[in-house]
Amino acid sequence: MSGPLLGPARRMFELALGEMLWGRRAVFMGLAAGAPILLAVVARLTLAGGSAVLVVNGSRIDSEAMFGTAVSLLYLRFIVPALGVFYGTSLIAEEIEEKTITYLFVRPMARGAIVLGKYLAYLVCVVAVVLPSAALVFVIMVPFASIGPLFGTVLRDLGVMALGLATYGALFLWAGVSFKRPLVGGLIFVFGWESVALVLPGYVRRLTIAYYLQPTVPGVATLLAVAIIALFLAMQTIERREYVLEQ
Amino acid sequence: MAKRTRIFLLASAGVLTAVLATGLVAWAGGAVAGSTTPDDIAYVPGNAQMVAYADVRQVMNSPFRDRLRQLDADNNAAADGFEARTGINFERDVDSVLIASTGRISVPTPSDRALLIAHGRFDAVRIEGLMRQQGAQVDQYRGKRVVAIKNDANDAALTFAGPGLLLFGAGDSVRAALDAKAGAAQGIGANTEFMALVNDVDEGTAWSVAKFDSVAGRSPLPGGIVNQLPPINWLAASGRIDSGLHGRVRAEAQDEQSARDLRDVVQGFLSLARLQGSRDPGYKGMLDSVMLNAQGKSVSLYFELTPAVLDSLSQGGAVRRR
Amino acid sequence: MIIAADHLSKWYGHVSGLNDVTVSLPEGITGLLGPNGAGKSTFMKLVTGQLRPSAGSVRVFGEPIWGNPAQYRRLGFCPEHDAFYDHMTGVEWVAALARLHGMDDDAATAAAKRALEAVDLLDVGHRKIGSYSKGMRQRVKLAQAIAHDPQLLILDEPLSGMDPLMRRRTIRLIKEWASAGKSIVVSSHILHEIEAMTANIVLMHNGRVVAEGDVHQIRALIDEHPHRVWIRAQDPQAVARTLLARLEPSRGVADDVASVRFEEGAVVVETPKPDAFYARLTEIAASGEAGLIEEVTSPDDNLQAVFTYLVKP
Repeated sequence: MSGPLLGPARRMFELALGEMLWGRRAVFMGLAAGAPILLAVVARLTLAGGSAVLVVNGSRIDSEAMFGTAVSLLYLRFIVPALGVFYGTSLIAEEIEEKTITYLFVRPMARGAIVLGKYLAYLVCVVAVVLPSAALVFVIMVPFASIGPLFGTVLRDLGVMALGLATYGALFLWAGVSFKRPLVGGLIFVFGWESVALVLPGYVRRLTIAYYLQPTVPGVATLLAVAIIALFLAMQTIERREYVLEQ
Repeated sequence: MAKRTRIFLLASAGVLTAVLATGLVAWAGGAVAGSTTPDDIAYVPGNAQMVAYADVRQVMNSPFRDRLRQLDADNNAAADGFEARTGINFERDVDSVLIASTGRISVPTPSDRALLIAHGRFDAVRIEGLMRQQGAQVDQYRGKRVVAIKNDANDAALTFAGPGLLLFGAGDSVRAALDAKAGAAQGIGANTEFMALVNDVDEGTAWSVAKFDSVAGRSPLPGGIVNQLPPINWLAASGRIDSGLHGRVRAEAQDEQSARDLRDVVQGFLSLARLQGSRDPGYKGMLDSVMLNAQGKSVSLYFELTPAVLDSLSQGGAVRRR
Repeated sequence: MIIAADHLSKWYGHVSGLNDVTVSLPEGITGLLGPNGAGKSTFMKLVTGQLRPSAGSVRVFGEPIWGNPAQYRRLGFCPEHDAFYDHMTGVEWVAALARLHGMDDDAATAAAKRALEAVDLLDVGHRKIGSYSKGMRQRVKLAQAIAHDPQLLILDEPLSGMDPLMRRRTIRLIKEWASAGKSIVVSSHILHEIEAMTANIVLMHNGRVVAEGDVHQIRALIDEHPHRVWIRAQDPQAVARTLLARLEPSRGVADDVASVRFEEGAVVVETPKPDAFYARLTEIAASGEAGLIEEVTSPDDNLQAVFTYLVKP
C-alpha cells in the first residue's frame, strides 16, 4: 500500500457514510432495523392486552424470553449477517458496477484508504442503526422491573452484534473486492453454509462466523482476528487488482 | 460530514445512550433494592449445599396466596399450631426467610444441618421462655446470646443476631453462622460458582440454589430415573409471585453434551405429561406454559400458574373429590 | 512531453484493447480521434492509472502512473460513462470529491462552486444530480475534473450529449484552460469537434495509433485516399453522364471523379478531391441539368470509413 492511510481514509469515510445512509440501500437498512421494533410494539401490545405470555407454535413464551429469541434468531442469525452480506459486498462491488469507482481511483490516495474508509463508514452506519434498534426492542419488550437484571446480558448482546457486523462486513468486503458476483456467494455462505454447518457434529461449525457469535462460545478473539485479516486482505487486493469497467 | 448525517448519528447515539442509561439505572436500582440476599447470606457457612429464600411478606400479600389458601384450608390449622408453640405468627410476624443446609436434605434428620434466618417482628422474651421450658440453656457466642437445647431428642439453638433478625437451627449450625458472619470461617459468599447462580435467581419472590447431590434424594422422580439423568452440578429455582406464579428451574449440567441430553430427557417427560394431561384443562393450561431452553451447560424450564390455571386445577380437584 | 507511451499494450483476456502504441503527447491540447472501439478510452485509462499496462509503459510528467496516487494531484479525469451518486447535489458531489484531494470542507465547497460556475452549473448546483439533463451531467463531470485545479486534464468524450450551444461553450472553455497553461487530452469520434479545439491530433484505430500530428497533415492524409459519395436522384444515369461529360482533362475540371457505379436509385462516386467534387455537385444540383438530386450522403463522414481507407493495405 502506498502513501498515508488515515487522513485519506477519514475523508473517504465521510463521503461513504453519507452515501450509505442516504443512498438507495438505506431503505433495506431501515427495514432491517425498523421491522423488529414494529414486531416488538405488536408483541408488547399483545402482552398488554391481558395476556402475560405470547403463544408461538404452541409454546408460550414471556417477553424476556421473546427478547432473547429476537436477539439470537432475528438479529444474530438474520439481520447482522444479512447487513454484512448486502453492505460488505456492495462497498466496492457496487462502485465498480455503477462505474463510480473511477472518481475514487483518480484521487491522490492509496486504494487501501478507500477500502478502510468505506469499511469504517459501513461499521459506523450499521452499528448506528442496528444497536439502537435492538436496544429499543429491549425496552419495548421487557417490563421495566426486568430491565435491571437483564442489563448485563443486553450489553453483551449489543457487543456481540457489533462484533458480528464488523466480522461479516470485513469478510464480505474482501469478497466484494475479489470476486465479480460476491452477493450470491455471500448469501449462500450465510444462509446456506452457516445454517447447515452449525448443526453438523464435530469441528465443521468452527468454519462459520455464527458459531463464534453464540453466547457460550468465547469467540471475541477469533472474530476480531477474522475481521482484521479480512480487512487487510481486502486492502491488499484492491491495491493489486485492476477493475475493467464494462462500456 | 453533511448536516443530516451528523443529525442521524447524534440521534442514533442519543437513543442508544437513553436506553443504556435506563438499563444502568434499573440495574443499579435493582442492585440496591434487591438487597434481599447480601446481608443475610453473610451468615451462611461456606460448606452450604443449599440455600433457599422467600420474601414471605410479598408471598403472603399476593393474590396467589389467597387462592392457595382457598384451595388448601388445612394448612391454616397447622399455622395456628406453630404460633401456639413459638409465639410466632408466620403470616403476621415474618418478612423474609432464608434457609441454608450444609448436608444432604434427604437425610432423615435434616435439622442437624439446617439453618433458618428470618427477618420479622419477634417476641424474644416469649420465644426464649418457651425454649427454657423445654430445657434450653443460655450461652454467649461471638457476642450474641444463644439459647440452645441439646439432649438425645433435640439439638436446637436460636439467637437474635440483630434487631428483628432470628437465626434458628442446630447448635453447631447457629454457631457456624455466627462464625461466618464474624469472618472467623469462610462464608458462602466466597463460592463464586454458587453466588453466580444466586445472582441469577435472586430477583424472584422466592428462590433456591442447591448442589444437585443434596436434593437428588428429594426428587419426585423414581430413583432409577434420577440415576440415569445426565450429570448435573447445580439446581436453581426461582419464582415470581403475584396473581399467579411465574417459575423457572435451572439445571447446570457438567458439560454441554450433558445439558443437551438433559434437555432431551426433560422434553420427553414433558411430551409424556402433555399426552397424559391433555384431558384435564388445569394441567393442560400449566403444561402449555412450560418452556424449555438449553444454552451452553444450562437447561432452564419456565412455567406459569396463572389464576385461570389455578381455577381449572381447583375445579378439577373438586370434581375428583366428589 | 506530458505523456509518453512506449510500446504500450493492453489486453482484456484475449481481446486487444491497445496494441503496441508508442506516442508522446506535448503540452497544450491533444485530440484523440477514432471511431468507437479504437482504443481511445483504454489509452485514457492507462494514462490515468486505472489500468495496468499488459506490456510497455506509460509515463505522465515523467513518472509511472499505476500505483502512484500522488500523481493525481496534478491530474483531472472526466470519464465517458454516465455514473454519479445521484442522491447528492452538484455542489455536494464535486465538493466531496475535492475533499479527497485533502481540502478542508470550506475550501472544497469553494472549489466546487468555482468549478460549477466555470461549466455554467452553479445556478443548479443545489439540485440533486439525479434530476440533471444529459448535458448537465456531462458538465458536472467536467466540474469534478477541474475542481482541484489540475495541471493535466484527461477528458473522454466530454462533448457527448451536449446541445450545440453548450458544445460551443465547452470547446471555448477547453481552449481557455489550455491558454491558462493546462495540458488537455480530449477524445472524440467526431473530426470537426476535435478540429475546433486543436490542430494536434492522434488518430487511433483498432487499438493502434495510425497517424499523429497537425490536423492539416491528417486532412491531407485523408485527402490522399478516394472519398465515396452516394447520390440518390430521380435519374442516376443522367447525374453520372453529367459528371462524366465534363471529364475533359484539357479543361482541367474533371480530375475530381475517380470512378462511378450504380446502385438501385443511386449513383456512387469515388473522388480524390472531395472539396472540389462537392462544389461541382452543388452547381449541378442547382442548375437542374441532371434532374432532381434527392439526397447526398457520404459514408466517409463516418470516421470508421476514413480509417478503413487509412489502414487498408
